[in-house]
Amino acid sequence: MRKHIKGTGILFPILMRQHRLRLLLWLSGLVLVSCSVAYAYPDLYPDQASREAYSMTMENPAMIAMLGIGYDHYQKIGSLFALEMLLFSAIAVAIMNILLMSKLTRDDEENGILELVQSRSVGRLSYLTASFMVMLSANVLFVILLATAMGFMQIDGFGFSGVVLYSSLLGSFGLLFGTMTAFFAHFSVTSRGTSILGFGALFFFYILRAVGDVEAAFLSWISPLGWLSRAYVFVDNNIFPIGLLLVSSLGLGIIAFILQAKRDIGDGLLPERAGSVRASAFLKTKVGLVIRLQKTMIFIWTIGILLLHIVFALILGDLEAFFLENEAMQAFLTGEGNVMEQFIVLLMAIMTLFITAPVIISFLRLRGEEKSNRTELVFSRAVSRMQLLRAYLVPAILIAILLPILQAFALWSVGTVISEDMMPLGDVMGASVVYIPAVLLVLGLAVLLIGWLPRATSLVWLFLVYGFIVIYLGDILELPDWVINLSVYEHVPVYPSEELSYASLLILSGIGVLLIFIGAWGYKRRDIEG
Amino acid sequence: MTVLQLDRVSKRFGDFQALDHVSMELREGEIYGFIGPNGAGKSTTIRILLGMLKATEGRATLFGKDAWKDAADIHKRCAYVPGDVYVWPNLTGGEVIDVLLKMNGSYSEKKRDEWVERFQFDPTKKARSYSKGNRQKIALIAAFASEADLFILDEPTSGLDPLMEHIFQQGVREMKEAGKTVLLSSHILSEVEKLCDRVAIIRKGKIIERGTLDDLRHLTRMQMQVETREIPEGFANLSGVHQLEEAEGQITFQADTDHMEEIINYLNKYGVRKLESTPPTLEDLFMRHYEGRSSEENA
Repeated sequence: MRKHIKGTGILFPILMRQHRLRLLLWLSGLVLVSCSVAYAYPDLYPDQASREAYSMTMENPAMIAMLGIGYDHYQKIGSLFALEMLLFSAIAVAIMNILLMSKLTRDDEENGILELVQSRSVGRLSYLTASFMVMLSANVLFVILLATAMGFMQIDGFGFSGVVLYSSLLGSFGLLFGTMTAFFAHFSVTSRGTSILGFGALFFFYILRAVGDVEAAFLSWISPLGWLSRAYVFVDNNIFPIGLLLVSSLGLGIIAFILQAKRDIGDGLLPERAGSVRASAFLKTKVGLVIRLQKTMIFIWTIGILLLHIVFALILGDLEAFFLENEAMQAFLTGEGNVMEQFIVLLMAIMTLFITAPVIISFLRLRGEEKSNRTELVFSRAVSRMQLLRAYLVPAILIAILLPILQAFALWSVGTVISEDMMPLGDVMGASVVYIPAVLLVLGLAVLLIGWLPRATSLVWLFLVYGFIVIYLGDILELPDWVINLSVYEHVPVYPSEELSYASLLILSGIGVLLIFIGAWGYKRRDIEG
Repeated sequence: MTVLQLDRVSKRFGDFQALDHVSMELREGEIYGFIGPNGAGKSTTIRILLGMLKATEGRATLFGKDAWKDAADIHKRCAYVPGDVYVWPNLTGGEVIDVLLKMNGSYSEKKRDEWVERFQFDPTKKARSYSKGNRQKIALIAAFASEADLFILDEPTSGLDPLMEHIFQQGVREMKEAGKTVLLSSHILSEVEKLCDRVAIIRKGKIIERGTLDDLRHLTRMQMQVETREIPEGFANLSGVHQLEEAEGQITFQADTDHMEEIINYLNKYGVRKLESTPPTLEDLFMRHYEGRSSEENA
């Protein structure tokens, strides 16, 4: 055994250093969001009445499908917090682990790092062992940080043992998905494929639990996400889900190590299909090439966003009761109009952020291509800078325009079946498409950065994160107006509650187009790295 | 006719002077070798020619057009093969070749298939699974199958096996026969020696030597091996003789080509039994330039 893990001691600190920044950002982000939300909870549900209102909404199957089975009663505020946060925090922790582990395993193998390391006097299992140690350290660190931070806050109705259990549930869930990703890394020959398998499993287990929680409880017992709610954290504080998570991690981990010992380096257990010898007419166009390279990404985002709308449409009927009896939740709904209208307006504001993400991802691939030295070969052909930039702008703009239209259709069509007093299609559509100019403006910022500050293109994500903080937490955290106004999305007129201001839409679009032109000018005159 | 011209081109990256007044001229139908070690500025020069980098000073023109401003236009008549070929990992090799060819307009499928065949390339696999050599074949096929008049090849064979390297050399010769111009940057000197009409040597961003191989050889020394009946006295003092060594009645030395006549006449007096001379290889030229200079600099 010893000879198989020789060199792990050298590899571990190297890998740790390699990923420390990424981990630092993830861990501090997760802990910060969890703590700030936990801090706001006692104010959100100050009295028994508001908690009971909440328990009413939890009788809606759609809510159960989304958040998991509820508690028997909500006397402790922690139970509400756990109900709303545990599942989604677990998903965030799982995403962190999937990304981290696919980098630590298949990505390093794909890039030849593993081969280089393996050629030295290093055991066959050392790299995987060191990778596991990094992933394990990240999760343990997360548990310690979160438990300490939330423990120190001493929020009423949380309780220290509950805080420790809550953090440990998240940590062990992360461990399971990190381990699962290491397991999947043996099947796909690429890190992309590995993380897609990981995300696919996460999605599958979420759906399994959703169906299980509503229809057939045994399905929830197959899904690790189903185990989480059954800890009844902060109330019953059951420990057995941790046991289940750790045992299944151990099982998967052992299989991952056995496969590592048997598999050839660079090999994947899933067979690769033979591809086509010639390019299709579509692929031979520049826009076609760009869309082909991004089709999986676009498909996944579209499906995800439409699914979310269908889920929200399903709970529309019970909204009234929930919001009317919960004063704190009304903080979210500050505009005019009835509850459903306000909810749809708010939903569209949040979903716009989700739509901005694929728009930015799609366009920033241009920078990714440059960094991977793939634009060189393109520019060596008869392709001008403007032509390639345009080829990347077209899909991004299409996403920015088509997704809002599609999401309005999805919400409206399911909504009209569920609820009799659903808003007319025109209003839903308006509430959604009114954000298109704001999305284009953020796209414009991305173009500006790619043209003038190519090394800093990821800064554009800050605008998105900021917009998210303002919409999601702005009212809970009581941010001042000027801080809120820094977000582009806050300058969009709220339709149909407010008068539609064409002027502000034109200004937003105008700035967006201007930024695109300035960025394009910069892209035309700067050096291309590769 | 001049196909490609660099006129005192300089390029700075921050404080680093990557190119320092580089000039070069390629005539139609010639194969021009561009040699120098890694980091000397070969790829920077080529990227300026391709319009990817903007020259800080000087002018680069191809077919009489500005390399920076008219890049896309120029590239209709150009084909480029980089040393490291990076392609889209989730497209097949065949798809990548088609996409690249199509970017320059219409192309002949027959020619494309012919070159796929000649390079024995399997176009059905996803590009991510190709080795370095196979990825290089993608770029080579896309280059040779296109209707280019100028080929810019930047260490195009660094991943090819000797058989494929032979196919490559055939390809380059065929292009020359068809009247096309080739700029071949390489540090495989035997390849340059076999193919090129003229050569430029770059070092630390400056062109330090240029001309035909014969021209360059004149600048340097022949390796001589001589056996004489009597030992030639005072031979070491003769001008043009360097690095003289004696062993078992044989002397080996290097001779300056411009002193050859006097040296031979002198040796003749001692009864020459055997005489071998080897012209310097490009490698000798190259090494002499580099070793000479770097020892000067160290001193």
